Amino acid sequence: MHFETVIGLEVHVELKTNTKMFSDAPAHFGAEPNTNLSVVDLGYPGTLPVPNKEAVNFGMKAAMALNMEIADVTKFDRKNYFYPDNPKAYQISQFDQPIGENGWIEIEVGGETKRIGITRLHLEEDAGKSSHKDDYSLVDLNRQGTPLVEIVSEPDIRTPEEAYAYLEKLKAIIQYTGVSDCKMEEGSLRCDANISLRPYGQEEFGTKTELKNLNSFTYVRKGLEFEEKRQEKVLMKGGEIAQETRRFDEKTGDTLLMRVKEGSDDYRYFPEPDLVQIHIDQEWKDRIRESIPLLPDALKDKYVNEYELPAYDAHVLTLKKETSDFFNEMVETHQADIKQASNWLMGGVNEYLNKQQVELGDTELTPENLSEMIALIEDGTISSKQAKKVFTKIVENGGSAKQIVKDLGMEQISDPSVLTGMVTEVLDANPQSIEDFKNGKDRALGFLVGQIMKKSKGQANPKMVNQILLEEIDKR
Amino acid sequence: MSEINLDTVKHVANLARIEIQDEKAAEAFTEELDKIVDYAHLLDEVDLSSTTPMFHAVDLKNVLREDDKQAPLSQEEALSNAKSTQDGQFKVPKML
Repeated sequence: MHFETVIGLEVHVELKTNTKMFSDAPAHFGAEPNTNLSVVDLGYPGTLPVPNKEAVNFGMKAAMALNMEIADVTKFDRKNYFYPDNPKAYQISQFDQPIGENGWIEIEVGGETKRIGITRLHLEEDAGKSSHKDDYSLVDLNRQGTPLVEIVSEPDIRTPEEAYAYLEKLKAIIQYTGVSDCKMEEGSLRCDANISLRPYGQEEFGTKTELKNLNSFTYVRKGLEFEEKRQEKVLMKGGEIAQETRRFDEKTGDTLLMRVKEGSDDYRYFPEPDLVQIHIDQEWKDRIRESIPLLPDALKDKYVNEYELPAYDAHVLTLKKETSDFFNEMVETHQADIKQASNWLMGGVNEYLNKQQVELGDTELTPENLSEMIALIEDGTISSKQAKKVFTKIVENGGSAKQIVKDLGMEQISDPSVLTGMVTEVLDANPQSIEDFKNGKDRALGFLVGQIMKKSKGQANPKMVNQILLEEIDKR
Repeated sequence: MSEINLDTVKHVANLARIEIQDEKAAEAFTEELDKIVDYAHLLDEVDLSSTTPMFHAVDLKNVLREDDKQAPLSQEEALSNAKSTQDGQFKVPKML
């Protein structure tokens, strides 16, 4: 590269409220087309928006989790544009007084920690969804009015890889706060990327292009990689970069010109006359701050310092909220052994999820049944080899690990009186072996153990068998 | 001193999706809008250095709603004013 790459990311996250940002219609994904609407969402004349308090709470919570300053006074503005997925011909957004400003998160790339600034987080409403046919388009307005936060990073990102790390971290943090599912495949997290190049040492930014249609973090990285090469080629030839919006093509990995970007002036922002200001006092801020659970970095520290897990294990366990919630419940509610619980989640469970291409929540595994299984291994009821069979059962069919062990007839025999009976029988039948053992032939002991295991159909507790066997031989 | 020229008028008309039929009409709008903007400049003469900006005519704050769901419109009702529909969706001229 002959140039320094400068990347800024705009991330839109849908908030998981019951209702829309400005109407009381339901805001959930996957409903039949145009069945989640009220007259407000349809932009009917004479209707008035009323902000959803929970959406304001959620926006504040996300902003706090991203180390932002929360506004004392925040307001909404109109952003005017015509598009069929936007029935009012404007979007209610926030222009100059966003709810959150000046935040940051830390990312790790190549073993180095880097802080990426976050300029602002603002509340707004989502638009409908259009699908394009040959000579017409169809519009489903269900998504219209769904609460969104837009999170704008500082142009602190220097490589596509850093962009990827930023997104992973941002997603984890937002997921932990519980304000959004952050599912890219359902559109509850979306990303646009701005990228420009400048000669090393130059302070002024180059002209940027904006990339759209980035439907996974991998595509963000690929789109940026393509775009930095494209811009470099243009600049090396003495050409100029046009400020434009480009579309990432998933099939070819190219970026294609969509449109020359409208300037911010063209949106003719002005204060939303239908809504009044929101004043956020200290008490409100404190209340929201208290509701923020441990975030990934803090949880990782806890696992390393309190639970004494290796840093890598702590990292893997905190990549997804689903995993750490599961782990926490195992350890805290079901008193599972910490190291064992971690090992199973990172090992057997992960293996299964990767192989089946499913999420933890799609399986029948629960913190309870996995903890129960681990307890059965710990107290010697089943061997680790048997545990693998039990695991396969509970992950696919659910149910209690104890019951499965019983049903499979796997329970180890650990009752001393039963074991002593078996040992006595085997010793009575093999006096020669006792003699051999007493004469120093250790192999004889192995033979006797084998006989006992055979008699118990492999279910005798091997440790206890050894112990009882030695005691009984001594007596003879 | 004209701030509004023919290009501004065409640009603004396009943003507002207003079709201006001919050049003559565009020229007329240019003249009229220029006068209006010029008139608004009268406000520049007022000394506002010690006035706090006001964003809203109504002196209210924190008018918010609890996150309680109400029954939405039926699909039929939602689409009832649409010119054209298909598969439960609004059918509109090609966008892309």
